[in-house]
Amino acid sequence: MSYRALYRVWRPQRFDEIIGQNVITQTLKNALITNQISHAYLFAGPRGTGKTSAAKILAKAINCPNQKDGEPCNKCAICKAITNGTLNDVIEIDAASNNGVDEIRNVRDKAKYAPTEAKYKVYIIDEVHMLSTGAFNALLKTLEEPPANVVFILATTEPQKIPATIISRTQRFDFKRIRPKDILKQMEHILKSDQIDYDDRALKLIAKSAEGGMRDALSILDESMSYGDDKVTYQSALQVTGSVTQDLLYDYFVEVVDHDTKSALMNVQKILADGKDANRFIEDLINYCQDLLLYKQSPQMIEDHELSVFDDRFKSLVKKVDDRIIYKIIEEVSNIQQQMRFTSHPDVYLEVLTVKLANIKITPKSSDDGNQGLIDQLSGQVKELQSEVKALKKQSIASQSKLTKVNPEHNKPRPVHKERHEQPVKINLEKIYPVLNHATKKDLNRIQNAWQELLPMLKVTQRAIMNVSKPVAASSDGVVVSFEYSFLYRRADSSKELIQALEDGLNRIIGYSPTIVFVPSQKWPTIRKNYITSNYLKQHSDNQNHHNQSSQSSSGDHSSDSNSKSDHSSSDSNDKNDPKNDHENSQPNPIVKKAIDLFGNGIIDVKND
Amino acid sequence: MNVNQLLRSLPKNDVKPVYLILGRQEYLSDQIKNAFIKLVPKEERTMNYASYDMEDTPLSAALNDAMSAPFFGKRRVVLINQPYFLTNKRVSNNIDHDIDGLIQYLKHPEPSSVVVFMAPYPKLDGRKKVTKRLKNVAEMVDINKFSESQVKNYVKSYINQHNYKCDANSLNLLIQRTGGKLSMIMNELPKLFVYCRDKVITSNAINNLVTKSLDQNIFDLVNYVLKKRVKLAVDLYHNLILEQKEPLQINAILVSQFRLLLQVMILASHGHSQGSLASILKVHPFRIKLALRTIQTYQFKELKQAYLGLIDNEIKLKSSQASPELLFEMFMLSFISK
Repeated sequence: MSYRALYRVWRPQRFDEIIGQNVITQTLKNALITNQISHAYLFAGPRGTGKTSAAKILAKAINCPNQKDGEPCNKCAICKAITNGTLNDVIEIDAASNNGVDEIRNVRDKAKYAPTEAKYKVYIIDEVHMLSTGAFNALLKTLEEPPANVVFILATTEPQKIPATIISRTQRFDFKRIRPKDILKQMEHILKSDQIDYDDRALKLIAKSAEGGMRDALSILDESMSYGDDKVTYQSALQVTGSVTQDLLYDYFVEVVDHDTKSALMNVQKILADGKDANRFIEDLINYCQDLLLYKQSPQMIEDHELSVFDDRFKSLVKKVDDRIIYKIIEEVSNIQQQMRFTSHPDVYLEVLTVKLANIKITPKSSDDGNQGLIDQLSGQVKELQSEVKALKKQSIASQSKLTKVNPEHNKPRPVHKERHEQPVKINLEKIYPVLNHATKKDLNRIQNAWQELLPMLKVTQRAIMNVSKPVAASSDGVVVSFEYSFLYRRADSSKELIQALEDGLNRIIGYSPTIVFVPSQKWPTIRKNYITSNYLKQHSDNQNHHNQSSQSSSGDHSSDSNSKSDHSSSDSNDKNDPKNDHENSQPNPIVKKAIDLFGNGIIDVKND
Repeated sequence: MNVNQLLRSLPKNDVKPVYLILGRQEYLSDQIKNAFIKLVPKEERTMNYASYDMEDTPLSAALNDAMSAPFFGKRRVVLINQPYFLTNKRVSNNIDHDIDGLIQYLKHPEPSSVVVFMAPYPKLDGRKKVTKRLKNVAEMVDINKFSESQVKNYVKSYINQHNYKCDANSLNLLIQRTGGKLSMIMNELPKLFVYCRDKVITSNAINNLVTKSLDQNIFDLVNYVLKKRVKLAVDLYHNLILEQKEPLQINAILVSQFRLLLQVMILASHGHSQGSLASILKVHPFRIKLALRTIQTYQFKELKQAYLGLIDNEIKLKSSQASPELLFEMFMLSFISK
C-alpha cells in the first residue's frame, strides 16, 4: 500500500482518541449511552481540532451494534463500511462544492426514506457555512421537522456565518484549539509507537507553529520526517516551518543593537541563502522582540505559556537592551513588513531594513538625550518668556494706570474696534432705546425664566440659532436679546419668521407678546453704555460725575484691563441699578457719542487731547 | 395575560377567538405555537390547522381560512406569522394585504376559529387603525416582557423538573454566557443534562459546553486586558481573529469599556453615586458597579493612556495595513509597562 500521511493514519477512530476535546466527547458518549441523541448537531471550531473525526465516530457509534460505553467497536461490518465511506446510510456532503438549493433539496427528499442497513441515517455536512441562503432555508425546513431515524451533523469552521435559525435547531459543540502541550504529547505518542527518533526542541517548535490544529502539526511532522530521513531533528523542523533559529535571531539582534551593520548584513544574507522566507524572518524577528519585551515585564508568565525555552543569552539580552530600542525596531520592522507585501524583491527590503535597524543605534538614545536637551532648552525659553511677560505686565500696568488717570476712556472703543472692521453690523437703536427706557429688573427676570420654556417651542433650525441667545434687558412691552455670534445675529434679525415665532411663544408663556429686538452680544455693552451716558447726562450734574470718577480711577489701577469686562457681567444682572459705574467708565461726551451713533464705531477712532 | 396563564388555559379549552403574541422569544413562541396546535386533534390537523407567513402569503388567504367553518371538527386554528402590517416595518414585497378585511373580521370573529397573530417584534405601531382594533379584540400575550429574573426562575424550575440540580453560581454563569436569552439557554440545557450524568450541573460543565457569545468573549478579553494578563489576552484576541471576528469591532468594544471606566472615574471624583452615574451615563447599574470596583486599581493617567492607545489603534486599523494582532500585542505591551 502506498504511503499514507500521518494525519490520515492517525485519524481518531474512537472518542477516546480525540485529543483535547474531553468534555465534548464525554457529552457525546453520554448521549449515546443514555440514548438521548439529538436529531441535529453542529460542530464548530478551527481546522484540525477534530470536528470531522468526531462526526464520523458519532455516525459509527450511533449505528454500531456492538457499541460499548458510547464507543464504536470499529470491527463490525457497519463500522468498517463507515470508516471506508461505503455505507449508504452515512452520507458525507461537502457543502463547499454542493452549496446550492438543489443539492440540499435532494438531501431533504432522500432523508424521508428509512435507512437501509444501519439504524440511523446520518448526514454529515462539512463546511456547512458555504451553503447559500436558499440552501440554508431548505435545510431549515428539514431540521424543523426531522424525519425519524435521521441525524444531521453539521461541521464548520465559521459558525458565525450560519443563520441563527439553524443554530437554534441544533445542538452546538464548540471545538477548542488544541493546546500545544496536548499536541506535543500526541506527537510523542505517535513517534514512539512508530519508533522514530526525535528531537524534543523540534517537537516543541512544531507544536507551537501548528496553532492548535492537530492536522497541521502532523503534516509538519510528516514533512520534517521525510526531510530528515525518518528522524525528526531540530534542523529539519526549522526547515519545514521556515523558522529561523533562536540562535540566529539572537545573533542578528545583537549585531543590530551593537550597530554592527556589516555582520548583520552578512547574517541576513546567510539566512536568505539558506532559503528562508524573508517574510517569515520578519515575523520571527517581531515575535522575538515581543518576547524580549514580555520577558522584561514578567519572566514567569512567558515561561509558563511558551513552549520555547529561554537560554541565558536571551536573559542577558533582556537586561542589556533598552525598551525604546526594541519598540523602535518593532516599528521599523512592521513598516517594512507592509511594504514587502507589494514587492517581488523582499531581499532588498530586508537588507535596507538591516542597515536601518543598525543605524537606529544612536537614534533612540540620542533622541532621548536630544529630547532632554530640547526640554531643557524649551523650559529655559519658557522661563525667559515668563520673566519677560512679567516685566511687560508691570510696565503696561504702570502705563495704563497713568493713562487711565489722564484719560480713562482712551482704551474704551478699542476692544470693539476690530470686530467692527470684520463685520459691519447695523443695529436698530431706535428700537432698543424705547425698550431700555422702560426696562425693569422684574421684566427681565420674567423673560429670562420664560426663555428656557420658549426654546423647545421653536423649530429645530430656529432653536439652533436661539440657543446662543439670551435676553439682556426687558421692559413691559419689549425685550432686547443678545447673540453670542454676530453672524447668528444677522440671521436672526433678517428672519421675520423667527421673530414671529418668538413673539407667539412668549405670548403663550407670559401672556403678552413684547417687541423683540436683537443685538450681538459684543455690541451690547457699548450700546447700553451709550444709552446710559446719553440719558444719564440729562439727569445728573457733572459735579457728581467728577466725584465718582476719582474713586473709580483709584480702584482701576489694579484691574484696569479686566475692569470693563467685570463691569459688563455684573451690570447684565444689575441692569438698571448701576448706571453710575458704567457711566464713569465710558466717560460721557455727548458729541462723541452722537458721532459714534451717526457713523458707527468702526470708522471712528476716539482720541483724547 | 402572561405566558403561563395562556399555556394553562389552552388545554382546558378556555379559548378566545383571537390572540396576539407579541415578542421575539423563539423558545416561548414555539411553546405557545405547539399549545395552539394541540387544540386541534391530530387527525384533523391537515384540514383544521394552517399557518401563514405574511411575508409571502396575502392576508386574505388566512382570513378566508379563518372565516370558513371547521371541517368535521370542533375548531379551526389559524396561525398568522410575521404580521408586519401591524408595525411600522417596511417589507419589500408586493403582497397586497387585505387590511380592511381583517378589520371587518375583527368586528365579528368566527367563534369556531382561533386566529393567532405571532408578532416577533419588540412593539407594534399603535397608531395604525388595524393595530388598535386588534389590541381591543385580541387576547394579548406579551412575551417581550420576560425579565432576567423571570428567565432565571423559568430555567431553574425547568432544571428542577428534570431532577437536575444547579447552584446559584452556575446558574448565573449559564445566564451570563448566553446573555440571558431564554431560547439559547433552553437550547444548551439538553447538552448539559447529557454531560452531567450525576444530575448536578457544574460551572465547569457550563464553561466547557456552553457556547460563549461574542459579548462574553469580549467581556473576558476586557477583563484580561484590565488585569494585565497579557498572554491570555493575546491568545484570546488571536482566537477571536481566527473566528473571523472583526478587529475593529473588538477594538471598539475595548474602547467603549475604557471610556466607561474613564467617565466613571471622573464623575465619581465629582461625588456622583452609583445610581446617579448609571442615570447620567445611561448604563446598566451593574456595569457601573463593576467599573467602580475596577477603577480602584488604576491611575487616571494610566487609563487615559490606554484609551488613547486604543484610539490610536483604531486609526491604524483603518488607515494602515498593520496586522491587527500586532497592534493589539503592542498595545498590551505598552499598557502593562506603565
